[in-house]
Amino acid sequence: MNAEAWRTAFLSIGAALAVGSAAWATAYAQARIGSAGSGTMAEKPELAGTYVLLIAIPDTIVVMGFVVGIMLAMKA
Amino acid sequence: MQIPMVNVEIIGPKKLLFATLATLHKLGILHIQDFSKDTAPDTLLTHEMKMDTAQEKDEQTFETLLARINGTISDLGIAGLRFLDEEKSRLYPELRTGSAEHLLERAKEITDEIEGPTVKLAEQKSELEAEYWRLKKCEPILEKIQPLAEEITTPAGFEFIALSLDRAAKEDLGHLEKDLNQLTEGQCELFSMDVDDDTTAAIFIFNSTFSPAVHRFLFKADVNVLQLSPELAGKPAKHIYDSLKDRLKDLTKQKKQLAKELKKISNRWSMNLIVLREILHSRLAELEIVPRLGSTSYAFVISGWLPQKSVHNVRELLRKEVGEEVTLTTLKPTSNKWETAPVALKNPSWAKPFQFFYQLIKPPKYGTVDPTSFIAIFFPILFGVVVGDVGYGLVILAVALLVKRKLKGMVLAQVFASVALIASISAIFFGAVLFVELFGNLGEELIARFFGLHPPYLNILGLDWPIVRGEPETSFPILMTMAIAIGVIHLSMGFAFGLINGLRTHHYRHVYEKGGFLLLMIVLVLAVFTNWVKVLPQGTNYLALALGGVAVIAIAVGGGVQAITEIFGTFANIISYSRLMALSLAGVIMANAINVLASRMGALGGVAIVGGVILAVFLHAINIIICVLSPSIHSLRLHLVECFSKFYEPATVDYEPFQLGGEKR
Repeated sequence: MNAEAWRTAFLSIGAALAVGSAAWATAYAQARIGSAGSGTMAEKPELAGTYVLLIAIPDTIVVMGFVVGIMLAMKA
Repeated sequence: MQIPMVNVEIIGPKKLLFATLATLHKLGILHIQDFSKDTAPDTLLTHEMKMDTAQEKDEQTFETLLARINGTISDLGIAGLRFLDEEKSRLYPELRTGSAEHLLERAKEITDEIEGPTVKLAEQKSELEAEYWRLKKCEPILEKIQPLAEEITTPAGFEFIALSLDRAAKEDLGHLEKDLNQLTEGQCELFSMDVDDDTTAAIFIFNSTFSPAVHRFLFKADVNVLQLSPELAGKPAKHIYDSLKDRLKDLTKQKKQLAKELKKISNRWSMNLIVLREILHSRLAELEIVPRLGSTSYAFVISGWLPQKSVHNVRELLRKEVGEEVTLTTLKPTSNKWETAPVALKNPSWAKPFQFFYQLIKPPKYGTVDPTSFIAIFFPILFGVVVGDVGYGLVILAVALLVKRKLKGMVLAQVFASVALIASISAIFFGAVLFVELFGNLGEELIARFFGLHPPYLNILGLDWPIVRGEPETSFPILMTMAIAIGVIHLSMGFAFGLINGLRTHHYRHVYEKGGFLLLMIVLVLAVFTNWVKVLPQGTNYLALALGGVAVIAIAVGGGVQAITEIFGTFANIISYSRLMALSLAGVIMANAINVLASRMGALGGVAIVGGVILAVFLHAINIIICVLSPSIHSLRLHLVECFSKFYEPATVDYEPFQLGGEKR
C-alpha cells in the first residue's frame, strides 16, 4: 500500500474515532443525566426545563466530534 | 415587553376592609404583597393583620358549607355546568358584598333545603347501580346454565346457590362436591357445565338447615358464589334467569325514575349552587388574604403592585364602590423593593407563543430586557437553517394548522402549534432560498428531470446557488461559516441586552463588562473581514488591536479576573453554534439516504414501486419527527445556555393578581 493510501486510511480511522468516541461520551453523560433527571421529574415535575437543558448540554461533545470527523473525512 | 408596575398602598378604616377586598377581588389586577415579608415597613405603627376569632370561625363555617355544596354538586352531577356571567350576577347580589353572617345564614338555608333530598336520592341511586352491575355480571353465566337449571327442581326446604369457577380449577369441583356432601350429610346435589373457554358454572342444591355452614365453608374455600339480589332469594333454580332479567328491567326503571328526580332538583337549583359556591370561594379567598395585610389599631393597609396604567381606574372604582375613606397612594419603592416587583409580560401576538420559554425558566426580572421578541425572531431562524426543506416545512405547517384547528381547548398544544407554524415558515423560506430542497434531494432530481438543470443553478457574487447540503465537500465550509456568523450575532445581541440591563439597573461595572464583550465581538468581525474575507484594508488590524485592548481592559474593570477567563468561554460558546451545521448536514444526509433507498427499491419495478413509495413516506415521516425535535431542543439550548447566560436575570416574583377564580380549591 502506498503512502497516499495509508494517509487516507488513517484519516478515515481518525474521523471514525472522532465521531464514535464523542458519541460514546455523549451517550454516557446523557444516560447518567437521563436516569437522574427521570428521578427528579417524578418528585419535582416543575424542574422539567432544567432537565431538558441538562440533557442537551453533553450534545456539544458529539457536535464537536462530528465537526472534527467531517474535517478529517474531507481531507481523506 | 414588561408591563410597567407601580407600588401602591391602600389604606382605609377596618370596617371597610371586606368591601375593599371584594372590589379589588372583582377587579382582579392588584398583586398583593405579603406585609410580613415586606422588606421595609413604612412606620412602626403598622403590624401584620391577624384574623380575629369571629373571622376564624367564619372561615371554618365557610369551608364546611363549601364542602357540603361541593358534595351536593357532585351528587347532582353538575360540576361541569357553565353559566353566563350575566345570568350568574343576577343571583344573590346581596350575598356578594353583604355581611358574613347574612351569607352564612342564607347559604346554610339553601344547603339544608337541597342537601337532604339530594343525598337520599343519590344514595338510593348508588345502591341500585351496585345491584344492577352485580346482576349484570351474573347474567351471561346464568343465561348459559339456564338449560341445566330448567331440569332441576328445588324441593321445599331446599335452597340453591350458583357458583362460577375457573376452568383450570375444574378438577377441584370433585373435591368440593365431596366436602359439601359430607357437610350436608348427603342432602345435596351439584350440577355443573362449561360456560366458555375459561369458566365453569355450577348449581348446588342443599337442605336449607345447612345454609349457614355451607356459606361459611364456601367463603373459607374462596369459591366464587354468584351474588344475586335478596329479591331473587328463594326463587326456584329454573326460574332464576327469568327472575334476574325481570329484576334488571325493574332496576333500570327505578334508576331512570331516580335520575328524573335528581334532574328535577338540578334544574331548579344548579345555578344557585354554582353561584353560591363561587361566592363562598370568593369570600374565603378574601378571608385567607387577611394575614398578608398590614394594620394599625383602626385601619387596614394593603400593600401591592398595580399596572401603571390602571392606577387611576382602581382609585376611582374604590372611591365609587367603597367610599372616600379608602385611599390609594402610589409609593416610590427603594431599590430593595424593586427586587420584589412582580413581572407581567405583554408581547405582540406573533411573539406571544414564545412566552412558553418561561415555563422552562422564570420570566425576566422586573426592569430588565424581556427577550420574548428576540426569541420569536431567532428561534425560527435557527430552526429554519437546520431543517431548511420546503417539503418538510410544508408537512410541519400542515400538522401545526391541523392541531390549531382540532385541539382548540388545549392551551399547550395551541402554543406549540403556533411556534411550529412560525418555525415551519422559516424552514420553507430557507429551504426555498438557500438550499432548494424538497424532501432532501428530491427537488433537485425533479428539476434535473423536467428542466434538465443541475446545481449550481446560479453564481451570485462568486458564490454558487443553491447550497447543496447533500455534498459536504462544498457545503461544509459555507454552513460552518453561516452557523458561526449566526452565533456571533446571537451572542452579540446577548451582550447588548446585558449592557442595557446594566444601564437600566445602574450597575455600571456590569455595563463595562458587557460593553467590553460586545466590543470584543466587533473586533472579531473586523478581524475576519480584514484578514479572511479581505474586504477591509489591512490597516483595520491596528484598529481591531486597539479596540481589543480597550475591550479586555473594560472586561477586567467590570468583572475582574473571572470575567477575563470568560473570554475563552465566549469563544467556546461561538463554536457551539457549529451544531447548527452538524444538525443541518445530518438531517439532509438522512433524507437523501431515504430517497436513494426508495428509488433503488422502486427501480425493481411492479409492486416494488408501491413498496418504495410507502418506505419513503414512512422513513421521511420519522426523519421529520427527528427534524422537529432535534432543532427545537438545540435552538432552546443555544438560547438558554449560550445566549441568556450573557444577560438574563430571572424574576423573583411572578405577577399573581388577587382575582376571582384564582383560588386553588
